[in-house]
Amino acid sequence: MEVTTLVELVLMGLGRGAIYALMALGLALIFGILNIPSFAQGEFYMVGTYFSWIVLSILGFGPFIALLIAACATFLVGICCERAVFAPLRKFGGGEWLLNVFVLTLGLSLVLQNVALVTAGPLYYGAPYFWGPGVVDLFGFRISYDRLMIVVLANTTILIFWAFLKRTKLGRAIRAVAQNATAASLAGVNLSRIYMITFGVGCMLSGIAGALMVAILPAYPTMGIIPLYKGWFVVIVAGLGTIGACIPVALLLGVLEAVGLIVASEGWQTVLYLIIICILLIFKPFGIFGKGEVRGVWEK
Amino acid sequence: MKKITVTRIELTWKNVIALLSLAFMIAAPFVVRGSYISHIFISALLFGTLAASFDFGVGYLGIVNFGYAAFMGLGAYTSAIAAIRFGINPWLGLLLGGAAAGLLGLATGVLTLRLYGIFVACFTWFLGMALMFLIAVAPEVTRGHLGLSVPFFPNVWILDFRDPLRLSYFAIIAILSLSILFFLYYLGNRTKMGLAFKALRGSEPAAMVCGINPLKYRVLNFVITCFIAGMLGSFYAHYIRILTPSLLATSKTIEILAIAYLGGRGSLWGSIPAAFLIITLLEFLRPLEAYRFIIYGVILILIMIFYPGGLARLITRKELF
Repeated sequence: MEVTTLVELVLMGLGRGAIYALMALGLALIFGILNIPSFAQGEFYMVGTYFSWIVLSILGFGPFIALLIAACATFLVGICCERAVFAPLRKFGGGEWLLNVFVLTLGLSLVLQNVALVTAGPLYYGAPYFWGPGVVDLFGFRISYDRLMIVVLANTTILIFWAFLKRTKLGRAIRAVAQNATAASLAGVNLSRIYMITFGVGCMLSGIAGALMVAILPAYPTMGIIPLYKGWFVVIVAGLGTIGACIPVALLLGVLEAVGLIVASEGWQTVLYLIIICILLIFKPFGIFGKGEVRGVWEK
Repeated sequence: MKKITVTRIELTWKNVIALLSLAFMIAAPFVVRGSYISHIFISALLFGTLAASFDFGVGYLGIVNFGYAAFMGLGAYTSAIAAIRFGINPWLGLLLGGAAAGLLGLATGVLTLRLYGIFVACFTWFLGMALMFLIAVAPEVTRGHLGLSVPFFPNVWILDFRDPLRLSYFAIIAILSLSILFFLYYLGNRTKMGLAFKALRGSEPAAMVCGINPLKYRVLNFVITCFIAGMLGSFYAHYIRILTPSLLATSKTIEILAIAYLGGRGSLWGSIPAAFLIITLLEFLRPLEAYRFIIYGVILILIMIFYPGGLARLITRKELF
């Protein structure tokens, strides 16, 4: 095999990996702070794709506006869902929070999927391209303009998110809640508000991932399951409770997947995943960067 | 050795109603004699029993097997392929399907059940996805998305499985599901294993102090539930008679899981009325098309928020286990 093909595949893999990183960050954030194993995250990805499609193909605006509107829309949908579904459970629900909330996210995903089915119908909606047509010549390697911009924009989003967590007051409050919710609330952090915003931000990250992928995977009501699957895979491999570790693992996984396409078809990837996770479970059961505190998280 | 005393069923209103509804449940398809009615009853019993055995894992030990439909599908495909390729009698296929799913369950359990909660859920989910894609990419054996057509059960005695009324299928699933429910109930309440499950549910460290090996009992529980899933899966294969990889999809697991949760976690029997309610409700709302799933999802959310005990706690306060 030629070196150029390999490099092109790696570049393609980085694009995929960045999307998985966005999904995984959203999942890890929501799991780490709200203690919700969210299986509705794929639906927020879907919402992002739909909004991106609406802006790009119907309204005819540029990709930046599409991204911005998709991000805002998923943020708002996320906040509404948190207020409508998870806040009442926190208030009224009894014990066994995690087992209940798990089913709650499944119910939410059912509702969102079918709302999309009712409003948009069972059709595939895609844009011909997200950023622009054509191919870029990058140091002699050819990569499509779209995929390059996906890598750039996804990584920019991750950096902005990171800066938000580390540098702003709100981000510090979120990190404080992640460490110890009671202590944070004693220090004057409004827990309910932080939960709401965190859920919104987590959903927004998935929505951005969906919006970026509109030209590659068209919008469809049940499209969320694959990104959700990849996102959870990254979270489990990286280790729960370690938000930062998701990024390198996701990029690595994307590259591995892209290179793996030479060897076998897409369907075999799931088998590869299973093998990876089996090996991991034998040698490092709590994930590559996990610290083995997961049981505490589960029973919190 | 102490003799196990048989508890007598007392003649209270609740028991009378329960027995009457059981009698109704068994008699109705034979009285009404409509293929549509018997189809609804068969699927309600099938999914109710699947949900009950799923509940045996969730309600006791908090093991969420998120690839449950894949274990069921594995049983279905095993039995179907054995019947088509090797001419194995589908009656034996029931056991074979169960054994295949149980063996996979054993391997999965040994590997994952050292871990808790979300790890197990995710691993079984990945396993289910992998199985689904494997079946889809191996059309030489499974015919993939084209669909595998499965033979009937061979006729036995007065049971004619080619009858369009499908009453024989109903008779078989009624016997199967009642015996599975009694088996699970017996296991949970009358054996040492059930006692260990209860102890583990109460407090794991305390149970470990008493000499209970949590891993052993978790794996045992997992294998039993997987075996039942495989067995019912092979029944499903010979009943529906067409198999596609979508049987193993996550949405199927969610269907079973929703029935188990609405029935009431840790109640076992609650799944059966829940399955009847949900399946008839969904059939009743069929003209609404996609809206019915929105209604279904909203009901699921509302029940989980305001009544997490589900149907079983609505009917009785006392726990059966």
